[in-house]
Amino acid sequence: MLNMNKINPTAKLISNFIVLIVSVMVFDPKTMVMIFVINVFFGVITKSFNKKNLKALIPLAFFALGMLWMNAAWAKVDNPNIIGCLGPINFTDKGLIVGLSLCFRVLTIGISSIIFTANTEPNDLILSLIKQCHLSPGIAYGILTAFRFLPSMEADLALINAAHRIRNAKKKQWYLKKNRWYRNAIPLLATNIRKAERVALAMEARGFENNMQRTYYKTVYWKKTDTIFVLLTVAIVMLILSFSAYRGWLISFQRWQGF
Amino acid sequence: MIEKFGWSLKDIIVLCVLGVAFGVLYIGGVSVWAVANAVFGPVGLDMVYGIWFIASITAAYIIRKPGIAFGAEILAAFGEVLLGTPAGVGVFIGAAIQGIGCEAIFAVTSWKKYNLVVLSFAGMGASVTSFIYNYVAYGYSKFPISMLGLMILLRLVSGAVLAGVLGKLIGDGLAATGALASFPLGRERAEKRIEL
Repeated sequence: MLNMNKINPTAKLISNFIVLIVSVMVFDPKTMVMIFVINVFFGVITKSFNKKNLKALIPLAFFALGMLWMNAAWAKVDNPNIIGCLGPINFTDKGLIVGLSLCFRVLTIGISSIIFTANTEPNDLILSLIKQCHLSPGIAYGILTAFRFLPSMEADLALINAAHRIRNAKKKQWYLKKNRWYRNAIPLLATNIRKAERVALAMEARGFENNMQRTYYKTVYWKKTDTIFVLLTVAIVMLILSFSAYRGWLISFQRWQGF
Repeated sequence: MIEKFGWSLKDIIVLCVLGVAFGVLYIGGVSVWAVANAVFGPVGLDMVYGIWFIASITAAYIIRKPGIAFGAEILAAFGEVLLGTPAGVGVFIGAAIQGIGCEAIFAVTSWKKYNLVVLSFAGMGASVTSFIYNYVAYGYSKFPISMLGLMILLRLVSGAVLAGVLGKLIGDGLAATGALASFPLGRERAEKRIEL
């Protein structure tokens, strides 16, 4: 079985961008559905889906459905045929086609990104970006530091809530009260900015500089399989595009009369 | 980029922490968007879009160096991707485009002025660039002109209010806690206090 975790994160990022760019350029539903199905299939065989990340997809699915019906109702197309109506809204066949391709585009983008995040360790991604994309170590370590802060942010939040309770902030008149979100966000950010400053001082004290040649506790290499993975993505996408161009389905930017 | 703009390590670490914290907020914004979307349809997206520009505005308001608005947006996108966002790695493209919109406005003032008007305009700058991106990426060209007009108007207002005004409020709130004493915003606050 293909172990996605072993593939270089940068390779996965590139593949994900390829899928993204192609799906933004495709404007017909048949090609889009093929790309979508391949993505779902790939996600299933790599066991990328779980309850939590599918739940994150729900708002996006609603947006996709919104794009579907709004385009079916109001898209600006040449000689549409009305296929149904709901009150004052008329749905057109060509609008529906536009809506379907946009709906599947949004879903494809969502699914492909879930496959990426489900199979990528944040630390590996950052180390790989330093090695393969020459990301500045200062920024890379900054992001890693910020990630270390995330678990302690929950503890900070509990502390802030306790402080509010001691000061009896809940029983104030409503017009004296600050918004609940704002009341928690400001102290939380302030604590973390203070912490960040301390970390920066500590790093400087240990001789950390922005553009230094340094070694890392773990090195992420670019292997042959990573090249194959990216090439395979390109090959599959090209295969789908050429198949649908051969069948005469493909509508990309050239034949698209939108603007 | 870093040496040229004079970012210190402290600026970078604080920027990263702000970026990731706002990344968490941005993911929370998805559920706000879902509600707006359910009530108003895709126009709801334009109403709440300003949420996704706050990182640029607040970070630029605090640190006040060239490139900060752009960097904050990219780092927030990074936070989003690492935590898992449904919008996908596409957020990097979106973030870069929004960041450029904000940064352009700050560039016009040559990174000197940070008042409410400039910050609101920066939010609106991001509205304009992000709208152009969405227009191409989500195929808005198929919508009639009147609806596009409504969408861009809502997005401009959202950018000015949710990003510009709210971003400034967050910055001011932080300055009041004294945590920004070593940043330009905190120093400006301290000078004002001495004058009073």
